Amino acid sequence: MGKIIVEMKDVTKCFGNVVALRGVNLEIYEGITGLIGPNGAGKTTTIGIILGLLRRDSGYLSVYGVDPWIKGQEVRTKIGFLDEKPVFPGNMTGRRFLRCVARIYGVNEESVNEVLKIVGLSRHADRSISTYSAGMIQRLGLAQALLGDKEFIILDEPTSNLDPIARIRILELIKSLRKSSGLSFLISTHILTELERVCDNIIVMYGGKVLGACTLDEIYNKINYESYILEFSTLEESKKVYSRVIEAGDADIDGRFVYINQRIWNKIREDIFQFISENGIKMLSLKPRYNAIEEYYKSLIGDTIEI
Amino acid sequence: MELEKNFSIYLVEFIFLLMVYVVASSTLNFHLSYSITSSMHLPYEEAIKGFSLFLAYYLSRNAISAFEFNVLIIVVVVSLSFADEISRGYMRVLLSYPLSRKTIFCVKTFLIIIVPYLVYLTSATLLPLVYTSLSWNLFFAETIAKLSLIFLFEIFFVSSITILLALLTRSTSFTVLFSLVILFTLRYSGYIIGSEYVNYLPPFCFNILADYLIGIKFLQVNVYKVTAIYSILSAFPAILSYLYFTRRFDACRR
Repeated sequence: MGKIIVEMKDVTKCFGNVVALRGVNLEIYEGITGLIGPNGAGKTTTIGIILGLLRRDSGYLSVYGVDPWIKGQEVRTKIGFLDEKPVFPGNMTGRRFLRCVARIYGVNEESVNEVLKIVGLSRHADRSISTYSAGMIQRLGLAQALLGDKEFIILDEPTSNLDPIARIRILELIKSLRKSSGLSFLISTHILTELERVCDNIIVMYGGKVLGACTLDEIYNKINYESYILEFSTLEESKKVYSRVIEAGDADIDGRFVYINQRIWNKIREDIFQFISENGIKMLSLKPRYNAIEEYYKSLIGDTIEI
Repeated sequence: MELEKNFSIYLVEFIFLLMVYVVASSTLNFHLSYSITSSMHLPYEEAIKGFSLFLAYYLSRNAISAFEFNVLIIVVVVSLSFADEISRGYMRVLLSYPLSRKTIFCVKTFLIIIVPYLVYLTSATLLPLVYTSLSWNLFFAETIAKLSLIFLFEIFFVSSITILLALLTRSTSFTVLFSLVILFTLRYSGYIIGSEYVNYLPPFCFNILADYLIGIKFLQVNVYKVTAIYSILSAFPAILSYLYFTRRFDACRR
């Protein structure tokens, strides 16, 4: 685990009679962290408190070593934020808006062009924001979150209003930004399958509490199940692969499908790919049988959610 | 950004047109009523004849009071600048930037006050030109000076009440509704209750205050004392909204 960014201890927050956070304890480290939980779990409130938008009622909070409610400006120079449904002035162009934001952060025009290029909005930058599609608004939101000398980006439901293609693009962008500029992300979402693509750490919230927090590897170790399905074109091919896999450990076969345990698959993956190519076997698909985060989420929350 | 977002050219044009009518009609109203009630003889009847006289009376009788005008304009502007931004989530985006709450509040409030006031000053400056070209000779610097002060006090008072309501209700429609009810109740409470002291409540106290500041002191000393107290009290909503926004306001309450 990298450097600690956020540390919360017994943080509580009430809105009138509604208790939003009931003694939240969490630590967010460098990397990509997923914050998951059902509606009303306290995800947005937690984000609001981290950004200094909300005042906590009690508990300890440190973001980059300072209290964001007291030294909000200092904290927010390092943190970018993309809201769930971002609202920007419709009568301004994307470029004009980003220029105004750049002035707040004290960065130049070049940075504006750079972030526009990163999010793929350069061609539409001189159009009025009111003409943007939901995906473009989301990308503009990401662009304004990236402006300045940022270290940590908070994304509240970044893909909730997007079509599948736009979702994939945003997630790939997050992944590439993590790789290229070493930025850390906190992604709050309901869509659990997405997180497995990008996240290093997972925090599960429910009823204003943190139910669990661990790395993705820890989840893979905790959730022990046949996680991958390999589909072949013929029964003979699947049998051949199965006989190879069974030498390494537990596996199962059902017609053209071979089920391989996650941990075993991780060990023999390279070997199997080589075996398949050497024997001219045609593999039709390779997909996880379950989503690891989904399983972890279910194991923590179980039947507590009322439908 | 704030100026560009909330004060589009159409809104400023709309304010300007209304402002010209308000200033023109209010000046005539003040002037004509003053000339009738004062012991001074003001030869306006000799100055304006025929259609001009009719127009002057028509305008003066159909004057929109500065207060009513301010209420309508400021409620719209504050709703755009505070209530709408809070309810739609733009305030959350704004507060996520490294800006202090003090700066955000002061810039927003300053623009809410200064933009309509500058539009007022522009139309007030144009008036002498119109009156002189019509040879009405009705323009009094004193009237315009008094109106200028009243406008400033009233804009401040109306905006402070509306901002407070916008922060508390977080809803555009409730802000507009409650502001109009409270402000028009204050405006007409004197007629309803009939008490003498109600006449010194805001917005009426601003007329007396403006008179006092430009040197018209024809009322008893007690009246000025009461006016001073009410005028100071009228700044209370502004202080309250500032303190609430900078110290307690939860930006992402749902």
